This record gives sequence, C-alpha cells and structure tokens, in this order.
Amino acid sequence: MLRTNLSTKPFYNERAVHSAVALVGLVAVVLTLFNVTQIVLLSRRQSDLNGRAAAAEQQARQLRSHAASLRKTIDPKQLDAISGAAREANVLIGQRLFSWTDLLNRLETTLPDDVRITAMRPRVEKDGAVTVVMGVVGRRVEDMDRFMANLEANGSFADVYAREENGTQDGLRLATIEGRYLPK
Amino acid sequence: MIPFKRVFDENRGLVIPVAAALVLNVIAYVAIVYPLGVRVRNAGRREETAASELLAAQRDDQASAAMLQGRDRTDTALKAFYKDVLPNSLASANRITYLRLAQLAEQHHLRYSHRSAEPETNPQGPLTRLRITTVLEGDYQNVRRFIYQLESGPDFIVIDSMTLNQDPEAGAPLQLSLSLSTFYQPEHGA
Repeated sequence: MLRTNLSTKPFYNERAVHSAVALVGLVAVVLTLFNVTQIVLLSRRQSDLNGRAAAAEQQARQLRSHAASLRKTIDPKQLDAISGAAREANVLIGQRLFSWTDLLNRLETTLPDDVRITAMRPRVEKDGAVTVVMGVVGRRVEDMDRFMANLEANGSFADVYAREENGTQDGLRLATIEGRYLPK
Repeated sequence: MIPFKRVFDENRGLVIPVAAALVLNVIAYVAIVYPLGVRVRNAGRREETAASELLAAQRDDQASAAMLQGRDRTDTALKAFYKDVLPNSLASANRITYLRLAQLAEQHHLRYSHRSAEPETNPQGPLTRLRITTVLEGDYQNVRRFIYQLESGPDFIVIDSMTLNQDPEAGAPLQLSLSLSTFYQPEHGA
C-alpha cells in the first residue's frame, strides 16, 4: 500500500478546524459575557454595599453623638439622688403594704394555747423578703417548738428558728423567734 | 498528522482574533473581575461591621433616651408621691398621727395611755421620718380592728413594730405598744 502523500497541498479536515475555531470563539464569547456581567453586577454590588456602609457609619456617628449629648444632660449626682429617693420610696411603700392584719390572722391559726406573742417586728430585707422577729412566751419548750412547726406547716413562714431563749423566775420560757414571712 | 503551521497560516484571520479574545478575557478576569470580587467581599465585610456598629449605636442611643425618660418618670412619680401620698410638712405629719390616731383609738374603744413623737432626718434621703411611739389599752378584738383601720386607711402610716402585753391578773386589758412612722419632705429652708 502506498503511504506517501504525493499531493502538493495535502488534504486536511477544514471543517473540523473551523469547528474547533468556532468552539473556541464561542468559549471566548461566553467568557466575555461572563466577565462583562460580573463587572456590571460586582460594580453595582460594590457601589450598593459601600453606599449602605457609608450610610450606616454616618447614622451610627449621628446616633452616638445624640446619645452623648443626651448623657451630657444627665447629671450623675442628680441621677444618684433620684435613684436613692426611688429606692427609699419603694422600701417605704413595701412597708406600708405589709399587712399586719394578715400576719395576725395567720399567727392566730398557728398559736398553741399555751404560747403567747408579746412582740413583733417585720424587717424588709434587701431582696424584698420579709423577716418577722417575734417575742414569744410559753410554758414549755415543746409548745414553742409546736408553734414554730405550725408556722412552717401552714405555709406562712419558712426558715423559722428560735434565736434566743431565756427562762423567767415564774417558770416561763421567753423566746425570740425569727422566720421568713411568706405573705399570700 | 495535522499540519498545524499550514492550518494556522490558512486560518490566521480567524485564529488570531479568537485567541486574542481568549487572552483578553483571561487578562480581564485576572485584572478586573477577580480584584473587583475581592473588593465586593471587603465592601460586604465593611457593610456588616457598619451595620453592627449602627446596631450598637442605636442601643446606646436608646439606653441614653431610656435613662433620661426613666429619670424624668421617676422624678415625676416621686414628686407625686411626696405631694399626694405623704404629708407635706411636720405639722401635717403630726396631724395625721396625733388627732387621727386618737380618733381611731376612741372609735375602737381603746384607751390612749401614752404617745411620743420625734422627727428623725435621714442625711442620705430627702425624707424626714416622724417616729411615733404609742401605747393603747383595750381588748384584743378592738386592737385588731384598730390595726386594720390604720393599715387600710388613706394616711401613709407605717407600723414598724408592735408589742403586746397583758397583766396575768384576770380582766386586765391588753396593752399594745406601737412603733409607727410617717414621712414628709421638709419644706425648703426648714
């Protein structure tokens, strides 16, 4: 078989070459479209983001300046004085709202026959809880103990304990009982 | 074998523009599109930072405004409390604890055996306390009614403590020692 190409202008597949060039040209067109689109979109996005950032920065500066000017109008000493006065007023209102009638009602239902209350003083703690200190007279320690147990059992008090106890010459027990009052 | 040189020579008019377009696109991507993308990402980060700074500034501004409003509201409420709820002078404080307590005791058949009063200034607060100690005698039910009337009445009187005493001998009245307080804002210059 003769393998040598004797033609002066050997044949090659021109259609394939044209197709390849057309394909590369198409890729170039697609790339051009992609680049142009990206440039347009990214430029718009950049401009939009920069605009929003600048607006936000400007607004933040204005708000900070406004906040600073508001704070300047507040005299710290005056604010402290008002806060102190408000705290004092709240404590007083809390004391005024304390119901002695309710406390007496609840004590009456828990007091054993042989125990008598001689003194009472509520104390409002910093957390708003009310501690009641009571002077109590009874004949026997058992009665005092029953009284304290009753106070906790009916839900009127918590953490009840006898802070101090003394005997009197006539054989009575004098105790100072303290407990956290749980108003209704 | 494809004769590339001949193919190139014969299609130079097509190949060069297409190759140039490809190269230009690559250069455009590297020189323009990619850096632009980086700048957009940076702008996005700047926008996020600015948005969070704006949020912080808004909170700061709201807190300052709330502080100012709170101060004004508290001040108004305090003024109303001092003016409308508390007695406005020592004389007024004395009136509600002297005359009205006596009337209340009489109304509940309690005998008024002792009363003392003393103003007590509070250097840390604007209010002066009028501390009253009073001793009443009567039966337990009347003492209960008296206390109920006192604490449910319109006057701002605080019962600080109470002491109950009863003589062991039969028929002796119950003795109620009350420590009371009322508060007033001293007039300027007082």
